[in-house]
Amino acid sequence: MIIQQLLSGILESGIYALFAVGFAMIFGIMGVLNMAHADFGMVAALTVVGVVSQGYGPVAGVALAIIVTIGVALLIERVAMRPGRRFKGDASIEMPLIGTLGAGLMLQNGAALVFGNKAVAFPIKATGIWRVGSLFLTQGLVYSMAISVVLLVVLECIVNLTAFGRSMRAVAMNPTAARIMGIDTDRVIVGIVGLTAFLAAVAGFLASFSYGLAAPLMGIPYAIKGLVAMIIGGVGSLRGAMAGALIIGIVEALATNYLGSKAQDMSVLVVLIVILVIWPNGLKSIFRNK
Amino acid sequence: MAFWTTILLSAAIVSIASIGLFLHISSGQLNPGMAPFVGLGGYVSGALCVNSGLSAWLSMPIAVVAGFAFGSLFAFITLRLHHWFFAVTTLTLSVASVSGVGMIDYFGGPVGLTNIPLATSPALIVSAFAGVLLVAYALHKSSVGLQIRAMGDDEPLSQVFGVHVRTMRILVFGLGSAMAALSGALQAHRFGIYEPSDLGFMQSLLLFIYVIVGGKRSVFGPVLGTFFLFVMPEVINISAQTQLLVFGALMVIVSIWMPEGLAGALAALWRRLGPGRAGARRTGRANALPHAGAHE
Repeated sequence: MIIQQLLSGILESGIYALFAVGFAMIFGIMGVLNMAHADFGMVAALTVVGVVSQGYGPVAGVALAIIVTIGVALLIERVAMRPGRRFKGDASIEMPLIGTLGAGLMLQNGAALVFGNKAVAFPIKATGIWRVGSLFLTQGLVYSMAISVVLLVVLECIVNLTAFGRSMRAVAMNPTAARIMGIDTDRVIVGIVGLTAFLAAVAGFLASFSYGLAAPLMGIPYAIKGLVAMIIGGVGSLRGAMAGALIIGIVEALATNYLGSKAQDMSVLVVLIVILVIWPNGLKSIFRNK
Repeated sequence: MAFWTTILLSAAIVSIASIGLFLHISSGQLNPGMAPFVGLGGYVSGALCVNSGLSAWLSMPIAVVAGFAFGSLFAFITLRLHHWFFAVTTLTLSVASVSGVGMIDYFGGPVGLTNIPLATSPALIVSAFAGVLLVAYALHKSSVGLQIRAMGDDEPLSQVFGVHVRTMRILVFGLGSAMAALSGALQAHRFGIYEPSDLGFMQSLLLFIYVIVGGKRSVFGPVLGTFFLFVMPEVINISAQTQLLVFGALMVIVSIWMPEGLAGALAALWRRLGPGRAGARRTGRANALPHAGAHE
């Protein structure tokens, strides 16, 4: 029983990790908390629903949805993040937070105007269950875990091994110095926004694919869990965000098992507060001390 | 006429919570998850009446005290968290409290409380609103208010100048939460029902929008924001969905052009166009420049 719960927690954390890594990349490089990030996943999922309902195949839907999501993300970066970042001090974090919160609200309610404020069926799904010995595995979650792991490994390679990754890390460390060294910081930022939007889109597909549903408000729980995972992992650290997502997934599963499904959200809050009170900079401070 | 009275009274009740949220934000505790603190007041006051048989006149003050205690406790626990850490913690609290309160039988479980005795009269609402506004205004103008704002602008620097940052954070957050609890108690005794969804993400976000769109530099900002955003959708008569779309757009506009919100924009306009200010126009214009002096 406990192994079953741990396993489903770990499988669930794949989607959380994709969202958490997106939050962490945007925050690490631009210093912006993008509150609309999880809504990009919703936009992607609902675009697929819309395209398929017009009679096109799911593959065309997914391709188009990725393009639409990246477009929406670039627009939001231009309108809601860049203007706020010119402020000094705390306001340079606060204003983009307010702007992206507003942009997220617009996305949610814009989608609700088009699709109705209810869950709609997702055209491709894997809600079936595999039985392995005494364990039950939701098919969609197994697929999403596999896809997440592949994507996260590719992402680590991009960040650590490519020229783009190097310029990305340079901008994260010191934007002014990076510009002096000849890095086009605006292009790096556009690249980051595109990349994170792609991750959010994939995470949105996987969430809808696993549960068979898409809804205008589906982003909110993932936003909370992605943000919490990023923060307990240590703000801006990619591996920290993945570790955080794993912790959130496992804790949620255990809380559901022992305290009932209503305790799920509460357990996330408790983990967040406990970890932040002990390590105010998140789990990355443990690794750094060694 | 009765319709507008109802809308304005609702706005007055919610304004009490926005003023509390304004206190939180002006002390540097960016709190996008205010609804649980409002809901605490509604739930405590309502449950004491329904399940323990207290009179509403006794339960409402108890709810306000409970709001202060819970707010101070929360601020004490999260004392080490700043900015976005704090923001995400309160947002998580807001989401978690919806299902959390559903587990407590005393609070009516997932259904919430019904048949709460109706005790909120228009006179009570108006006097509570005026009282809270007065307290917040007096606090804002006092030397303590100056310390609070200094803390909100730059915490380490204010500490250097002798502000007791920790004590102040706890007390200000407690006071703001007490106001929120008063607002929630008035709400609960006005319509007689209180549900877990009153604590959720959307309610929190709405309160946050009222304060941010109204303006977070003066006490009148949140009041202006709340009344404007309550009345405006009724005047132009739009659906709830479109209304939220417009609110989102207003947030984006605030983040681009008016970091001081409506109150700040009106003040700047007044400085530019105000009567008999020809001599003062030059300084007025300097102040009216976007974000000059706002966040330095």
